[in-house]
Amino acid sequence: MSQGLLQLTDIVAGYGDVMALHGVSLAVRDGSVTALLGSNGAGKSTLLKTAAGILTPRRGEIAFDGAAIAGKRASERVERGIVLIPEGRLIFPEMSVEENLRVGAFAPHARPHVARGLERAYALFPRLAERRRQSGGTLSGGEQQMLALGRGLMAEPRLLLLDEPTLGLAPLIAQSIFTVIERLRADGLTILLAEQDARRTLAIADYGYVLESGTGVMEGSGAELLADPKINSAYLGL
Amino acid sequence: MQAILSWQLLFAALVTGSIYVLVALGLNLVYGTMRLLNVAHGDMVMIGAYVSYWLFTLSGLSPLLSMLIAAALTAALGALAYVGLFRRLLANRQLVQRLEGNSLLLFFGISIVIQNLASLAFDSTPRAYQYLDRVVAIGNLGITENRLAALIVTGILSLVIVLFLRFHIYGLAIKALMQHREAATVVGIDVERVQILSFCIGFGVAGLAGALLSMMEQITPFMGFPFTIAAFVVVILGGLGNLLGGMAAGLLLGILETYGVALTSPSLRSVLIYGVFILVLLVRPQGLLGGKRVVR
Repeated sequence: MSQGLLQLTDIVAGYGDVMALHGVSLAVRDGSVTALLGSNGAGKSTLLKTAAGILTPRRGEIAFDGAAIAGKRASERVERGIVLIPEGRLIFPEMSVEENLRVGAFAPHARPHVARGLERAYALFPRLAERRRQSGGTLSGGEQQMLALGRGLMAEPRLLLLDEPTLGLAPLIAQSIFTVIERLRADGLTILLAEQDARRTLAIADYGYVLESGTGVMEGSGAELLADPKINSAYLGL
Repeated sequence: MQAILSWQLLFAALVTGSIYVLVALGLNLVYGTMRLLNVAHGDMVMIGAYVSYWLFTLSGLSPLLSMLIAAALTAALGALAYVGLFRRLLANRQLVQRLEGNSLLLFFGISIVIQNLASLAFDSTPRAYQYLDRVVAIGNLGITENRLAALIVTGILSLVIVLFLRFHIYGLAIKALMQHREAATVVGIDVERVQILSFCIGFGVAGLAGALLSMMEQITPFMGFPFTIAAFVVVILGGLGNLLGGMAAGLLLGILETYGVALTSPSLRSVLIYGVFILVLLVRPQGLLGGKRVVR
């Protein structure tokens, strides 16, 4: 697993004095969809935020494309191609849909490609094109998730960190988000996907990790994890 | 009563209001992006005014040129204040918890130092110079050239700022940072750089407003404070952190003040401004314009 595009080694991280991760290691292979499973509070969000540079780890190493990036700020990581689509979407509520998308291309390497990025985002999510003048705060939950995804893609990522992209969405819209994720994978994007819906996530994942109370407890290919009885009882409700 | 309906008064209101637009913008930017309450903001107006005063008196340089020097100097002071003081304040987890109060005290101290240094260096007698003070007639409107020039400059600059906030990537980044700090970090905005930029634009525009003001009015080392107050009123009127609302509110305050003074007496100017301030805080604390609360 040493040839991971993203490699986290022995990460300890958290908020203030409370640690949410106690030495987690994980690798995301180039071109793969890697699933990150675990119940609420297992540390999935903390791990993604640490990878994105929103949180600074107390200990541990982070390598992206072979370079150590643990000390790099979030903006520098986006510039290298690591883009987080955060839980809760974090849309700019009083900017229009189009402004939300355009500011997603802040990273210097993405700035020249704004027109291309907008075209791609609107092709992927025609709903956003219909609402391009509307302010972000007036969108429905599903539309906001589309906007968050579209905004992230504007940064021309190499690795997408997706944090609970279908949380709180109606089943049909959740399904369409999964369709988009598969489409992005087909386009060659590498994806680390934290999701509650373990079955659907493992169905599209090449590899998966299971976190429990801030430690990695299991890993394996998507098919292996799907077949594992412990996973079945804990996350699939079988 | 006829004087109230004159173009003359409307023009005066617009000139005053447009200066308020520029001064208040900087206060709003620095508060909106960093939650810093800059009570030294009006002192940048004063510094800009003295830059143009001295350059004109000593070398005859037109204030319409020296306003660029005034803006550059105050923008540099903004960068210095950020790098030297406020970056540390923002980075300290304990200080950041009472950021608004702490920044208020810090800026208050800075304001006192600036005002007293200025009065030490320039003494406190009011100063003025004459530049473009011929009266031109447009229809039956008689106005001095310097006021017309000031209105044109503020108009153009306001338009540039509106376009910048709408289309430029850094303009969008400023709005993004004001609306949602964490989201701004997530999308890869270089927060440090946007914060320095907010200081530079805010201070620079205030300095430029001061340069324009020096053509029209007497200047003193203590002229800044009323502008700080006016800027706070404008920002409250327009809604804290609402840049476009603040620009509209600047014009509104200029109109309220000018017509209010014309209808009553110049001695009531402060009463009017504070009256509007208190009234808005009591009746519509979220601001007259915009209406929506800014999400933090």
